[in-house]
Amino acid sequence: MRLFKTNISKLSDEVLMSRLIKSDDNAALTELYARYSSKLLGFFIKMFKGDVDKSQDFLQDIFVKIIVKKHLFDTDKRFYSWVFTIASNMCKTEFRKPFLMSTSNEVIEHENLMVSDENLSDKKSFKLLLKQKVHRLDYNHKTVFILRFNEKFSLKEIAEITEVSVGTVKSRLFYATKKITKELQEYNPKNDSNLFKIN
Amino acid sequence: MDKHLSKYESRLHELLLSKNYSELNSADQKFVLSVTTQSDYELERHVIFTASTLFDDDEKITPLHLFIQQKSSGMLFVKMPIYQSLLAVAATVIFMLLVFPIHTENSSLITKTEYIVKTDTVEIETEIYKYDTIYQTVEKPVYIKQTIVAESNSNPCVSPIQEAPRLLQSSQTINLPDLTQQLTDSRGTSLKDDNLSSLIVEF
Repeated sequence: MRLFKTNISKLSDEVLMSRLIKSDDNAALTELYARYSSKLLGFFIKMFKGDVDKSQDFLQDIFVKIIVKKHLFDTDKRFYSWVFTIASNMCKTEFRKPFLMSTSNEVIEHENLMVSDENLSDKKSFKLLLKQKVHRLDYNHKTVFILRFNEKFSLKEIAEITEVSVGTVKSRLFYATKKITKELQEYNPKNDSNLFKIN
Repeated sequence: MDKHLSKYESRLHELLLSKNYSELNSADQKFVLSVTTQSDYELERHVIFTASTLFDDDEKITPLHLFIQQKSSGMLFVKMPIYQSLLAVAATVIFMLLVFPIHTENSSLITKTEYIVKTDTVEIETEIYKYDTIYQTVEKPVYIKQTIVAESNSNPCVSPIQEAPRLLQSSQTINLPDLTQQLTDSRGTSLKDDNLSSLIVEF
């Protein structure tokens, strides 16, 4: 019997996972959920074009997978890359379903109607348009774009998560940005210098 | 599309991620202008900058509580393979059928068939037994007994085989039956039934 209770919030993700593997420690699982649920939910929402219900389901599913497949976790590796690899694979599987593709196209078309050219001088409208362009990217480019610019992962971390080389990540990121920029060419910020001033 | 970046693309990408166009030194500005235009560079920078705050509203959504099914130690909640549960159901059904059989037309037909088979077997065995007994025991003893009776009428103390030659020696005048009548008789008599013929054959 332990004399002193361990402060679980100070333990690293990998230590928590090893506790979960060894003794099905519910406290460790709860702590991991507290640390990663928001990030993962945000990632799923971005990947599924703002579908919150589906993203909540996927969040539950991913933690069920963590519990069921905990023995597959290598404690020498980082937990976040493992969990985001699972998340990105789940998204990839979902993206392969033809139903999702048709629905997403319908959503994009619907959003297109909402954003008219006259409103594009507005910063919010530009954001909305950019969001549409991001959602139109294919799975690989979209994943890298979101992981880099929204989740703020480094190139090396993205390479670990997507299981490709750093060079491939760089390439995907470069072409994703270039593609979006090309599509937004007509809305060049040169017309409004205050609006597009960075930093 | 996923080919690795060239040297120029890689350098441009690094600059895009790090500096505004106005912050670039003259050499970098020259390089940027050789690859793209200033407006495109600024637009791409703006896209990258805006993308970082693009989904800020989505991140305000709070995740639901984690729902994990609690493990139960009770016997009813023990996980078991599907085949085992199917076997258990099948065993139960078989047991119930044995205890409470269902009376249908098919089952009565099966019972009748079994009965007929039993009857046939009994009849065949009985017939074979009867046939064997009659053939071996009845026919031959009847023939021998008739011969003995015929001889014993003339001389009951002597056997017919030993006595026949003596009868011929002791008396020369034996009354032979009238053969002419028998020879002319068109119907004739079987050797087996004729007493005289049997004497001649034995002699």
